[in-house]
Amino acid sequence: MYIYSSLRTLWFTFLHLFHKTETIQYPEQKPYLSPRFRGRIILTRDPDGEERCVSCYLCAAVCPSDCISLQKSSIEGDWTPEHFRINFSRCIFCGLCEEACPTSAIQLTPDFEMSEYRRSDLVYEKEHLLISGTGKVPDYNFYRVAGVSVRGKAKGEALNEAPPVDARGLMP
Amino acid sequence: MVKLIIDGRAVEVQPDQNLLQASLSVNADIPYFCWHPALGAVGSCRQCAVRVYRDDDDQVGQIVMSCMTKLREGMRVSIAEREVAALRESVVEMVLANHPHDCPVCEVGGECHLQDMAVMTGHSGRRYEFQKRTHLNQNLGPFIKHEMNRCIGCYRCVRFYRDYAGGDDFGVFGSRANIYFGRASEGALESPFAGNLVEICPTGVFVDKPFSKKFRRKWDMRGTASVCGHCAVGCNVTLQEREGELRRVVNRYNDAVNGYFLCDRGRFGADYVQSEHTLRSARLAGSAELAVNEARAALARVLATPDLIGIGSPRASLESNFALRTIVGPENFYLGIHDTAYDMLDVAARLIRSARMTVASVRDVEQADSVLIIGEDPSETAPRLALALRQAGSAGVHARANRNAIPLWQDISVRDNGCETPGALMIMSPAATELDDVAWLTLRVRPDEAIARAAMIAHAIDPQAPPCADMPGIMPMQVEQMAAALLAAERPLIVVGCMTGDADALRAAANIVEALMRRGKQARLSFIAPEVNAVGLALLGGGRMSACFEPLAAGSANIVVLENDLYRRFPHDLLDRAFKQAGSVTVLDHIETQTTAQAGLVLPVASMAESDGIVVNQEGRAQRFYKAIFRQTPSLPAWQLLRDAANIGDWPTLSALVRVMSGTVEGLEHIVEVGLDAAFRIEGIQPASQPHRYSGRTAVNAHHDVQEQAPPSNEYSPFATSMEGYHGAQAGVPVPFFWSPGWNSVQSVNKFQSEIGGSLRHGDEGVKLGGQDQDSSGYWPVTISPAEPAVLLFIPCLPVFGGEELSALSPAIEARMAVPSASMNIHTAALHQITEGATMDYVTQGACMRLVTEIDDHLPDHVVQIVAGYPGQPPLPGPVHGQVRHITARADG
Amino acid sequence: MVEILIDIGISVALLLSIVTLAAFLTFVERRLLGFWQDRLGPNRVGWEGSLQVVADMIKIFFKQDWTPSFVEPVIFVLAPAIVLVTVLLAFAVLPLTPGIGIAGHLNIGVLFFLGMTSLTVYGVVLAGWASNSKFALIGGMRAAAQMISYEVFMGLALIGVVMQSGSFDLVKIVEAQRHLWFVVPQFFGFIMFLIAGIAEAHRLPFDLPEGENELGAGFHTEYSSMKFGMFFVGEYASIVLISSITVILFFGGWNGPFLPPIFWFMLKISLFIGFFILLRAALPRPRYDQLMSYGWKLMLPLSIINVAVTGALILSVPA
Repeated sequence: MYIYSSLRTLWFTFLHLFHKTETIQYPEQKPYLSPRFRGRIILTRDPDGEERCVSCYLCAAVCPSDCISLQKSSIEGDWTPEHFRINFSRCIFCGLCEEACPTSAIQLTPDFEMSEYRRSDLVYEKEHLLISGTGKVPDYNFYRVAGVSVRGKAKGEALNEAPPVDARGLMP
Repeated sequence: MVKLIIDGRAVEVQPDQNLLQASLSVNADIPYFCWHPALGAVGSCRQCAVRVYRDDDDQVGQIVMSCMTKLREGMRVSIAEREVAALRESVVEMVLANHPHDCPVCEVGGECHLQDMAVMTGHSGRRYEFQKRTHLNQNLGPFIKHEMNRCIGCYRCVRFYRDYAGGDDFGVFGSRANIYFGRASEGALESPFAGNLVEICPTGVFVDKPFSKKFRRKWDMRGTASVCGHCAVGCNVTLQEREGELRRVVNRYNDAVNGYFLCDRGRFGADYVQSEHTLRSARLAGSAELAVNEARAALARVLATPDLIGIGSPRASLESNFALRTIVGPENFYLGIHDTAYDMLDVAARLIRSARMTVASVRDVEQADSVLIIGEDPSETAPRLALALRQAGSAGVHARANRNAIPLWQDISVRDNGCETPGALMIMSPAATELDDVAWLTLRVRPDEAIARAAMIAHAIDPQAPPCADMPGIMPMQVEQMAAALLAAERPLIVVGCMTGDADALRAAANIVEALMRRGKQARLSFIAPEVNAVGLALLGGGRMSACFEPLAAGSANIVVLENDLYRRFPHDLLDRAFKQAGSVTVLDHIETQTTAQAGLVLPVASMAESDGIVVNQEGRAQRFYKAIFRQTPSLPAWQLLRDAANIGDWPTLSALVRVMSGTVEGLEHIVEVGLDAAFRIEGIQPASQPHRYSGRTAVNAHHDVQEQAPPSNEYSPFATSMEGYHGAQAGVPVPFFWSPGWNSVQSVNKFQSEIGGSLRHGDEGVKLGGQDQDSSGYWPVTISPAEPAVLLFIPCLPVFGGEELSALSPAIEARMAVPSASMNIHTAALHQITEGATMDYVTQGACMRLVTEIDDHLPDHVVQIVAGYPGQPPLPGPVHGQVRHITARADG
Repeated sequence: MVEILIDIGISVALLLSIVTLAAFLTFVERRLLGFWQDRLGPNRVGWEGSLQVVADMIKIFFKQDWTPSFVEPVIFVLAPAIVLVTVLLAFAVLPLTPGIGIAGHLNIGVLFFLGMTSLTVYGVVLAGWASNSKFALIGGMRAAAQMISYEVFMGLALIGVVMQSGSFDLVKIVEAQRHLWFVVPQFFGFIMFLIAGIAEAHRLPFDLPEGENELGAGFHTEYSSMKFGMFFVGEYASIVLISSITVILFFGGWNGPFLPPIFWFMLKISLFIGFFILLRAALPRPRYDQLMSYGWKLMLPLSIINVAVTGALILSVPA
């Protein structure tokens, strides 16, 4: 049985000599990359043009190679990252950060051509990551559904929110 | 022990708990919100539902709230039963119906009890699609950020703030579903325990405001076991650090000391380590900065001179003080504290060494059933102790509940039942204290009158105690009443502190304890020492400062001052003169002070957060703190700097120094048992100090150097500075961060306790020193030195916020500091023709303070209470006579 | 004198062509593996990648020739040389054609071949030992055990051929196959020899001394640059060697109709080399204990039976 299966394997492997190859001759021939391809990471903006990242640290926490570092800014009010750094020389493009991101700020793009001669050139700061558009998620604006009052949105003005309760009202 | 059957598993639990507590103690997790081990149960959140069966045959059972259920022998309980599990899930769903979609922008996210409970119940998807209720927030001051939308209405905050901590400026408003937890009007929360709301709130309504500015998730910070350095209680804290910056201070449970709570001074006061006052580089007077090796060479030159005088510090570690004491010689080592404090600490050290006297731990204080406070306001000098005293104040309430067979965890019933019961405290102090509402007797008396009364009480309890000469205005009946109250108790407690400025207060208190013990009582003493390591310094021993100024007057001695701002303690003209006469003045400190400004040579040393060492708290408990902050260019701990400069080979390591110290200093034999040796390993590996999920390791420094740096090393601590190492509780290892699977919030401390609300399973921290002197029974002589009548007596008031040196340098505390003022009663004011709000010069012993006058009718006649201890204020070490002067027009202009 | 010069010329030419062939095989193997895995393999350098070998050679020569500080330096350097030299020495007795060969008529040709292949193990074991690292040492140990085990029945598998041809002289063996290749009467001998040969060359599926998924790179973990290159070339040279000897012993050597003998010889060994590469592409590696029990418990008895049956047949059937 073992001999038969080994011979069979040999035969089938040999037959692959006559199969079509799957190789794509990359630099001359560009492969098709789907929009959900996991390449270079970007930070997007919400439909109002504001930074989407609220520096919740979930991307950093979930990153298996620990290559995301950010710090919430010390300014009260909006949560925005003071710095946002991705060390692409460590990134494994697993996409877990995108999956963890509650605001759709961090997204992976189909761009993977980002080689550099120096490793230090692969350290991307916020200004390198931030784009002007909304990326793959055109409509979502986290602060419109969150309960905190920021960006000129007062309490009770978010989606599906009642106006603030009057704690001194005695009406039933 | 009571036997329970929880989901078929037979367990034995302590009897006097509720079912929820009992289940948690045997690792049977029931979700809960409103119950808290320190606050008891009220049954308001309906989250802890379980099914209880009547007997073995009962298949139906009934759903009850486990926190409101008494234990019954052989009780059969089901947590996992389908219907009750579904009920718990639906409760979480309803709780979350109005909860905002905030977790990413909530500081509590990731350490949120509500998140944990939602996961525990299995609730995962929102079905409620209608409008969410919203609330406006209030500005609650520099410590706490308010985000009322997140409230789930568990009432824990008001129960802690009002019932437990005695605050009255915070409460619950509104009706039906629209309740609102906040203040009547915006403003800083007044209670010095408001910071605990952050840990009490099961979700993110109350958030640590300074922390929010340098925010990091819980898993992103290295936790280090430390001891709070802002008073002598020695609360255990965890310092959470990241990237060389102290991010926040959280409570580290220690059953014998701080339990679940910290005061705001400890929680928000540690930022002095990274303020503009932090001393970063060495310098010579009048010259620019010195390089590190130059500074060390200069120090070595100083230490090589013959006429050395060492001045220790009550805020430096035992190790640093001992190093200085060894280098200058014990006969040339002075404690660096004012003589009144010296005398009191001398007595206190003897009491701690005595085998007969029991000095109360904070836990003991909490359990006292009758308390006499002599001349002290603990809520200013030892806030955490005051919180414990407040719990002792309800001893009567508890006694009444016991009489009526109400379990003590039945919080509302106990309180309702005992609402008429007077407090168990007796307070003799010049000014009103925060604890007055739990006292059945408050006497507003001068310190000398308080001491006289204390001496009389001792004599009234045991006639063998030394009598006290009569003083005008003391009613013998009142004294007897107080003596009777102490005698009626099982565990009476006498509290005394340094505010009296007279060691006789402590002697009189010790006499009361002795008298009570002779009457068969389990009496205890609590002495409120002035600073974090004051008792350690006293146990180490050294000369008094007035003796120090004599050799200085003889001239040309070289002074080495260790982490001590002498200008806070001694009259400035005296110091200026002494420093001028001295051969040289060398100051080692971690902050810029008036003393460093006067020094010839200044060297930066590591603060408590940046070094390892031992401090001894007021009850003589030696506790180890570990290095929490690792800077790029670290300052060395003072002992190491001194060792290297004096070229002493005996102490290659911290442990070696501690061994030498325990062999040399009488009374410190047991300090070798304190803390962990640097060589300590668990199965060959170091305990880790970062959580498993510490993030950003390969990116955090990538903008400087794309190559990753090795984590910092600490040769004096066994803890690995990274996440690599042993995770989990181990005997004797202080917990770097409380976390347990499924319990991300601070409630995970449950998983580390031997019983819920009891001691830690792997041992509470600290080793109690003293207790070795056998022949120390007997009474102390007490002499009363009456204050001069009709002369103004200035009494210092050290406010919680600003009255302590280091915390006053922390920005959040600074924001809470009031304008220093002087208060007196209306009669005294009228006598001196002072009106409320007038700015006057208060003059004493060459020091002149220009203060705003306030009227406080609680104060006795001729007593002026002066807010002291603020940075830059002249020292006011104890009650002194003084006078008040109107500001002349010229001086005004 | 002239004859000696001609012999030296032939030897040098032969050596160079073997080494070149071995080096070229590195390219052939990658290309073939590529095709068998539906890839292209190296196809960038030169026409269809044919100059890949040159590129690799340039690279391997210019790499840092690093001798780690912890190794036994002399033996460490010696070991790869032993491997390559012993393999190349074995070629000395191979008659490629009646005219091409160095010592084709050596009357102990088969024994010389067996002796040289068993010396190869020294190179591998010494490399493993001298590297002073656990991966290398385990790799070397495995190589030693594997080679000794498979050596035993490799020799026995050849006895049938020797018995039938009546000589250890390889030329005579080839000539004895003029009418019938020994693969027919000695089919089991062939199979066993082939298996033993794969194991001797420690090629997949019997490359346990390298075992990269558990041992890094096995005995040559610590080697780099041309010292590694010598192991590499040695491995391919031994593929050529095993293919050649198989062809000589079982497939009639240079015998073939119409075309010149060298063509037939080359054609036959090419097919075997291809087969070796196909084995690598197709078969997984057995576990180490399977390898050992397979050798001792199955192949050794079978080869003894083969010798006995062949002997019995030769004795019973008159010539």
